[in-house]
Amino acid sequence: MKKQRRELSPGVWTVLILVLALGCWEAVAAGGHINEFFFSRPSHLWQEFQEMVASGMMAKHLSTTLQEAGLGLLFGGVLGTLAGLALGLFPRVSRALMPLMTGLNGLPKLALGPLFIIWFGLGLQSKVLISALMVFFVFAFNLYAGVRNVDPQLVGAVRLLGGSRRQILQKVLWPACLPWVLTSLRTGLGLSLSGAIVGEYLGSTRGMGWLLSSAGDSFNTQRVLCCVLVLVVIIILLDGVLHLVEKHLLRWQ
Amino acid sequence: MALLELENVTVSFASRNGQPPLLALDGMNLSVEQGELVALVGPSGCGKTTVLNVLAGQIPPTAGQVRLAGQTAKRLSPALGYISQADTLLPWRTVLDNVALAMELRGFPKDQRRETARALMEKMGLSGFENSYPRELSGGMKKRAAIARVLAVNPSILMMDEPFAPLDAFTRQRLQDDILSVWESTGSTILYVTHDLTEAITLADRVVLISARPGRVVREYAIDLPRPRRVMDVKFSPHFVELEQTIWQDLEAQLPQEEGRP
Repeated sequence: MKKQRRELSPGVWTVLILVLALGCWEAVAAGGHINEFFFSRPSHLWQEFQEMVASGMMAKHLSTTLQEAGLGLLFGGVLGTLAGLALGLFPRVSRALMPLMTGLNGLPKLALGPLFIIWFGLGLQSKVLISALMVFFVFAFNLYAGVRNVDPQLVGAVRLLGGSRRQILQKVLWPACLPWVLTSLRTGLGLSLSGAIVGEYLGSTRGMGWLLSSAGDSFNTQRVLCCVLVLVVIIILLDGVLHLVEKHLLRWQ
Repeated sequence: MALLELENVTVSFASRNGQPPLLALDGMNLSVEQGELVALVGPSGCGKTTVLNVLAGQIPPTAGQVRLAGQTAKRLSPALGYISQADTLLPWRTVLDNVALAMELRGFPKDQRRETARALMEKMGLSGFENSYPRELSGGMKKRAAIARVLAVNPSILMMDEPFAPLDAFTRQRLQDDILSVWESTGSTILYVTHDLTEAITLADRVVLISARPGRVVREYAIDLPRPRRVMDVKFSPHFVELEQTIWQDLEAQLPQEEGRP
């Protein structure tokens, strides 16, 4: 009889790898093999993290960035979904707009950042816009593909059962596109955060991007690395939540 | 008065690239009485499915008349139920919600939908799978659920387009028995398209042989096998074999012509 091999869950793997990497880092730094000024060490990062939390700095900057990224994901996601549905449902629209969309998507969108800062200022608006722009195309292209992948036989069958256009949209197209929305959401999560952070980097008065930028300017590697790690952990956690939502909503698959 | 009538129906499809239009049906005459089970048989590509689509109002006839209960059919009538060979259950809905779909589209209240769907599922041998998703069902069970979905809104005419073609022989035979018992118990009218002559004779009161394209009615055969029928009882009766032989000879005459036609 074959022995059943137990598979570790992705969560366990993630923690295992992180712990291992941090452990090595700490050991190498403790042995004096690397310059702590440039590379810091996990125990110092932990101290830095605790100080930043205690001073309220972490909460202030993190909440700013999460708010910007969240709003960017929301607006970019909703508009991108609508655009993708329109492109998929109306061939005339996609014929007219697809080349333009592809061209715009090819642009390095972050390079437009300075423009948004000039137009919309150093505050929330410009960051939300950059973030939304990053996310928009992901949703638009995915939903476009989603609509075109809907099984025409399902649409035909529901029409023959007496379904109206609106009912077909509601009961066939939308549920069929839902997996694409969720995939876009998971991709968009990271993109919206980088949009917000780069926006802050380019010009702002607060947020994780501003914190990274000012810490970097003063060669505070410890703080830079601490912020980076915090962001990585947050993205992993949020993605985990989305994964659970996905598993529940797509349990029929 | 016949429930369903095709009078001199011609359907031609415009083709691209400057080729002549494709003539799918050429002066087709057919009438189906209330409560009849009629099977349309013919070589593949003979326009059997086109007949159903014309009746369902999905393809307008190029010429001729289509009448449903005496009235010219223009759009899809709610009195029609359509079952095709494709698996068209919505994969994200439970079987119960799939069976209730046609009722939902017509605005039935939720309680009534569920109650009717449950009763139908029991009748079709699907009890216990109410909360399963279609991927968890076998091919035969999916087909039964699809049939239940259509029966839920009491169509007066059931149109079936090679519904069991993709299934294995055993499942097919059981489903044919199911169709017979549904038809016998509800008294609905069934128009059944198939290329399987044995299936046609087993089920139908009348077999209508359609010619190779362009489709016309070649001949009609009354199937006077006793009712109620069970597939196993009917299949081996001498009269069944006789009927099959007769129709096969005519059907065969249709086959070689298929190639030579312009």
